[in-house]
Amino acid sequence: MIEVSGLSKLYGSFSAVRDLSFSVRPGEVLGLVGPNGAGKTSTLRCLAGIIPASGGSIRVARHDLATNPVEAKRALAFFPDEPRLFDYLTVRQHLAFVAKIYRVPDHEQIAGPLLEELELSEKVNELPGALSRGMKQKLAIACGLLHSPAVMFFDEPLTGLDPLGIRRMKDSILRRAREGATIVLSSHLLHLLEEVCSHVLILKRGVKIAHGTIAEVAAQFGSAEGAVNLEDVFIRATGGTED
Amino acid sequence: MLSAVVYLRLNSLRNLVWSRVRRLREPKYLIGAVVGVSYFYFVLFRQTGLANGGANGLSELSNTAAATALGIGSLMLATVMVFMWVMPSGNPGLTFTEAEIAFLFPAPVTRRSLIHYKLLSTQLRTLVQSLFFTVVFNHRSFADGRAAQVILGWWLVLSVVNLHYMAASLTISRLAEGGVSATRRRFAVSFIIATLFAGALAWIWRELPPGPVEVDQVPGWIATVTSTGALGWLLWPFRALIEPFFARGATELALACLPAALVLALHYRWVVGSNVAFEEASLARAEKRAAKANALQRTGALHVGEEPRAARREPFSLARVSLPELAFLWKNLLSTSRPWFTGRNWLAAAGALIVVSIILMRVLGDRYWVAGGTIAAISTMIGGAAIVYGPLLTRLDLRQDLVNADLLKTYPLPGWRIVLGEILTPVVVLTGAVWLGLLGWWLGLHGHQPPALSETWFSPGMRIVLVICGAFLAPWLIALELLVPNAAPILLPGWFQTIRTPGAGIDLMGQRLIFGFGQIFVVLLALLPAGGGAALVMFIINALVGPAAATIAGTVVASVVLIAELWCGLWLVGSRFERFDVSSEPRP
Repeated sequence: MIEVSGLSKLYGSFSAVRDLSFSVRPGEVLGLVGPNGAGKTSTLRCLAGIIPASGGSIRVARHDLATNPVEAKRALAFFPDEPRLFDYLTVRQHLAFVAKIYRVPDHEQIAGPLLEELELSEKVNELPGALSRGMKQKLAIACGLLHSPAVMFFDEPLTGLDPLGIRRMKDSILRRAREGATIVLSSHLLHLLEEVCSHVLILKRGVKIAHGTIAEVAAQFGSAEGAVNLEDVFIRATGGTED
Repeated sequence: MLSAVVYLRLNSLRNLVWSRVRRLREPKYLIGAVVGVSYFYFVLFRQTGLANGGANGLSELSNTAAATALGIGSLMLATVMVFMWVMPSGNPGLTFTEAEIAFLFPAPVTRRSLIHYKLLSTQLRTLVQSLFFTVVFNHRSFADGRAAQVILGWWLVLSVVNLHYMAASLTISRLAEGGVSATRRRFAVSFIIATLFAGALAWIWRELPPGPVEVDQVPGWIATVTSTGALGWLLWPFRALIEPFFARGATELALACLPAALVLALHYRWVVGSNVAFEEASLARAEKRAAKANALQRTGALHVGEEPRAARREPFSLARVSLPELAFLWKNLLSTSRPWFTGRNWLAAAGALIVVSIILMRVLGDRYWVAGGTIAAISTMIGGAAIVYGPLLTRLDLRQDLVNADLLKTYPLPGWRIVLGEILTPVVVLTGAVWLGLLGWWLGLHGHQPPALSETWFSPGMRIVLVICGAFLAPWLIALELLVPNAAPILLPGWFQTIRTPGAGIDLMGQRLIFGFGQIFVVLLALLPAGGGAALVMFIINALVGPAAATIAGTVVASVVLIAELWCGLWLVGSRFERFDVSSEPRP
């Protein structure tokens, strides 16, 4: 469960996110969309506790991120757009390190099936330098899933994946949602959001301009001609410009 | 958190060492490692006497000398720390890598734990630095068994400097959050320091006997001034950090370490107690470093300064030139990390040199040679360094662009034109430096005949001939010097590291040494025909006509030979470049 109320983020005098409020319930997948510079990454980083919010409150799994960050973070996982790994830790050692940080007991019993699922079993003793871009992405995902997070944040989750990897990632997100995870993801790939997300939040210049189920948002920005897709909705909602 | 840090650091170190050892199976790394280790042994250890033993400089110091060194050291340390406040680097006090940010910032750890993580992580680096500084600056301590004491001393100093840097950066961030501008902070810090310094000076003026008269009294005076009264109190924390270096015996060392440990503990408390949101600045810094690393891998150029944010002024109008080689020159000049390599700036520098020299001539009159001699000496050094070291250091050429070899090979140009175009930028830049050096040399010696210089070959008239001939010869010579290192990655692909990777290992350092010495050897070999031919012609013409004609004839002969060699070299390297297998060039 994520509850965001009046979130704002300032970089000096520049306001990246302004008075943003929304909530995401378990089992829901919220797609965060907006033009470049809309504040998507800033929002995700604030939600994941990577950078402090300038104002407002964020509750993750019923824990306030500002006053009880450790418990809130214990329930979440953040998946950046680029896999950022330690150059000299092997695949197995990455998972062991994460297990120590999150205090996951018997992590090897969890890591085994996870590595199997992500097809990393044969690479456990390899350093990141020996892995392909997709493999690195999978390792980052394995590290994020190791502590069975209830809340997940994905920043452009399909970047650099091949078609098979994209299909698997979409299935994985949907399966985690069905299992009760709360998921927020940002992407420019609107067709992905249509397939995966139950809800969508459109940002422009740090301000929320639409939020609801895809059907609700489509109805809000639809036209008399009938059904529209998310791309049309996005263009109508944002006016087709970044400014 | 402690166990996680230890796990991360130990495993990373073990894997790093293991990966470096494993690559020694390839001959190019093995040979590089042997050369690198030999270099360290002969240049550092053997030459400094570590291998043969020797006396420890610190333990042999007299009481006065030790007190003086202590005073000077504490003043230097104080200056370093003052600069952290007056001119902060602008970087966050706590720097994290992108991986650390990705794994630790969203993790269930407190901000204080993150600070502890960083402090523990920097300890490994500090220990290695302490060992390195001991080897470089106090190598003799290994011979008399005081190495542990000196390493401890360096560790204390470096740890406190690191902690002070972190604390200063975090405090400055907090002040900025509180609305204190950089100007107000600088003013306040400068005012406090100036007040303290003025107070200390006033005390010295009133309380101490007059300053030193004889040179041999200076050390004692410095020792007294820095250890007593107001300045003594001000410098106490810095003195406490340095005293362990000078302790004699275990008891004295233990007593010296107590105040140093107190200073260290106070700094630790300061950093850990700083409740400042450092995450944003660390994230921005990590992204910037990652961008720089990507740029390094992409271009091979290590941009130390700020990334350019605005388009630079073009060095010359590309529309006015027709030769494709000049397009490479234009591109590489634009991509330099120093935007001042433009003809206008070189002319401005030459103009400034002329104006300064004329002013000095007018002001100093007959004594101009004092300043002029210095100008001539510095100019000679600049010009000499540009010729000798310039080609060894620069990378604004094909080596930088070799990561884009696949793109270069698609250009509808013969290989030699691409190679020529790529080496033009360093040729132009270094030639400019040589020409400035020649101008400075000529201006500096104006109106004076140094006794060390031959009156026949360095007469005022001959100097003009020498400068013009040197200026004419410089570009061919520099181009030939640059062709050799640019040929290396084409002729020996897989052996040559086009990318400068800092801290890449002793084996890569050894490879660079091999190529550095190889470059010098090949260049000297290539210069032999030009030098020999020019010397022979000069000898004959000098006997028949005179030194001016001999110099001009020698320059012509040397230039013709150099141009011929250059052309052959360009053709050879160019034709090899056309057949160059892009896949054989090691990608970062």
